Amino acid sequence: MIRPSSLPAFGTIQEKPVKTPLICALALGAAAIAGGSSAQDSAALQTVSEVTARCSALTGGATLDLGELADIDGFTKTVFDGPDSSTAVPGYWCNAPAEVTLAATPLLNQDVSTVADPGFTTRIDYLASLAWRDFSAVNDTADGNPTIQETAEANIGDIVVTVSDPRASGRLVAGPYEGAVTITIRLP
Amino acid sequence: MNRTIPFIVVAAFALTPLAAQAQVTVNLTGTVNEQCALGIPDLVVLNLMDLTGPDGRLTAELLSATPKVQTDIPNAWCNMPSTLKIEAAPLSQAVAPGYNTPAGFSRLLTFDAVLEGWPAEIRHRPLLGSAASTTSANTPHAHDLTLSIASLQTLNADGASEAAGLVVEAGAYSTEIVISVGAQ
Repeated sequence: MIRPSSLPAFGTIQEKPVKTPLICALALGAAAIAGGSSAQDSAALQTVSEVTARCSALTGGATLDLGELADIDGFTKTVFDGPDSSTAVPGYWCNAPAEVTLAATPLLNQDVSTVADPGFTTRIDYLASLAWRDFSAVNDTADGNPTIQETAEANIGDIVVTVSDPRASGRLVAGPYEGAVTITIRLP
Repeated sequence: MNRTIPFIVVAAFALTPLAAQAQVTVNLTGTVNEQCALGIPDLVVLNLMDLTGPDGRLTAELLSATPKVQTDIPNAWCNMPSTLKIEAAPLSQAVAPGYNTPAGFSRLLTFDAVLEGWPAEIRHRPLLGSAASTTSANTPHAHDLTLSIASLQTLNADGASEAAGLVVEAGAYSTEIVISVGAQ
């Protein structure tokens, strides 16, 4: 136990105000100060503390390989071939309500940026969904804007990202396609 | 004697300062394989009917540039730069006689096979042993194709050159026209 030097030594009684400019970490519990003639004594302590609002580290990420994107007629498949969900961050927590931003970018052909024939396209839009225990959000890449929502309370659980509902305005130009789903969490 | 000594303890948990925001990204990858396709032609057998008139020579209708027969090939497309190809041999007798082509006669016929629908049309006029004719699209392309047969003409005995005005030997004549599309 840390005992400031301004206090009288144990076993003595002094009738004077105790001036104690004290800020330190103390173990909780009753601190029995030995009194003079009484068989026992007690001291009441009041503790006041503060816990900073925070979230756990948001690190890592993943890559989802969605496989072949076109059907036999050259149009986008209505369901992704490859795995369409990923546990982006397991066991994530915030100890206070937080603002969650979900921003998805369309799948774009990495080799061809424009195509003259209006019957072809180099872009695939889709829905990106986020689930974090009982909190959820959805972002459509066709909207062009991120989805921003606040959680109602502190939360803890796996953050799971799911992509679905691929759409395109024409046959798909051959080549590799890439997109991304970004999750940003901040405390307001 | 009970004494109450109030202690007010302020405990500040020393934590690493929280960053303004944190971010994680899930990357998505996928691929679209190179593909080409041709639909089923409206007609798979192009019947030119009787090739000759009373003089035993090709009729004026078949000699003209007006298509005698044509067929559509729907839904032709390639999702990358492509080459469209047509190959055919001259019309010839299904069963050739057991003698050489007599002078003044022909048993080999050429024609214009015109394929439209790609950025540029193909005009293939076959001789014996001639190569296929091609045209290219430098970007992904989709369009119905139309194949037309016109401008028939008699060939000399070795099938290497045209010889107009020859009498066509009797018999059933046929040839196969192959249309294909693929990567450049």
